[in-house]
Amino acid sequence: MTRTEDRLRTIFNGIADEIPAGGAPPLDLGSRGFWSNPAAFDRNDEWRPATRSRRWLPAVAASLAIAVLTVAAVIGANLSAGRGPRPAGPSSVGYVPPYYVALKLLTPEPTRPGGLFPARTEAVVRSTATGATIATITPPAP
Amino acid sequence: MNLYSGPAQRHRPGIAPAPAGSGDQDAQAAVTALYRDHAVALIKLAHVMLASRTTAEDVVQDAFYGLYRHWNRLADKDKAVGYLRTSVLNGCRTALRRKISSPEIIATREPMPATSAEAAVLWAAERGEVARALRRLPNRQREVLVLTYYLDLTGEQISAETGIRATSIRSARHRGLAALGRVLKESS
Repeated sequence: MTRTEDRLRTIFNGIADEIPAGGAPPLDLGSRGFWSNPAAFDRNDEWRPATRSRRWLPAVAASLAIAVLTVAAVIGANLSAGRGPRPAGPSSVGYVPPYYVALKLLTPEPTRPGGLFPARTEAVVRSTATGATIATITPPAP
Repeated sequence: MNLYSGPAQRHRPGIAPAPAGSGDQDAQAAVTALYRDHAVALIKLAHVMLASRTTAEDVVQDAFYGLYRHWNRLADKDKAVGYLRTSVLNGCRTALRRKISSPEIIATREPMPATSAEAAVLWAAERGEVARALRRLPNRQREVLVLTYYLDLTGEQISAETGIRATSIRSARHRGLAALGRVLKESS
């Protein structure tokens, strides 16, 4: 037998001997027991019947639940009343398109207004973020 | 050591009025008799597990109340003592989980069996150290150690009591002892 085993036996028997031979308290079969309601034990660890103090518990719990539901309903109604109808489709506010199209002048000088031949241009598709040319669309010659 | 070898208890009045019906009265009489014969031994067992007399008494009281409530559904009345012991072990597990008996209670509240002041101090220190180390073990290891070294039950007897396989019990005892030895060596 190891030292730990010896030590355990000694300690266990010593702890058990702390309970005297007649050390059992009176049996109480009229209460619900300690674990069902530990709060019923006061600081002196004496049992006191707690049935009376628990009678109001369901009523209080029901009242609290009703109060919480009422407050939640009122707050929800106020929030929905303050909000207008939502616009159809996605909002464009704050939205930056990933591409843009620019017209590039091909002729050296713009023709004067009202001239016979308008200035020649091509459409250049660029990335908004980098400015890189993604595609160029050249219109056919007139 | 036999778990139920404690001296017979003096019957104490104070039983609550029994519910109506002869079956309930029979249950009350039977449970009261069991309490008279086995309560102290079970309180000692719970006290060893919890190191708190008050909590141990509560656990045992609750076990007997549970037996009383289910007495009519107990198929084999001869197994009532086993039922009680299992209930007490379960109650101890619950108490430890809820940490109702704190380490401070372990060290300070219990009366010292030693005679001299020095011996009392040494006993309190040793007791608290072992109780704290025991509390750090998993439930199964703790229970197997208590059943082995307090009740002197063999692995087969513990297996029959708890329904755990004998090999698992040997393993739990071995691991529990090793862990306890490490903890006690670290703290000493």
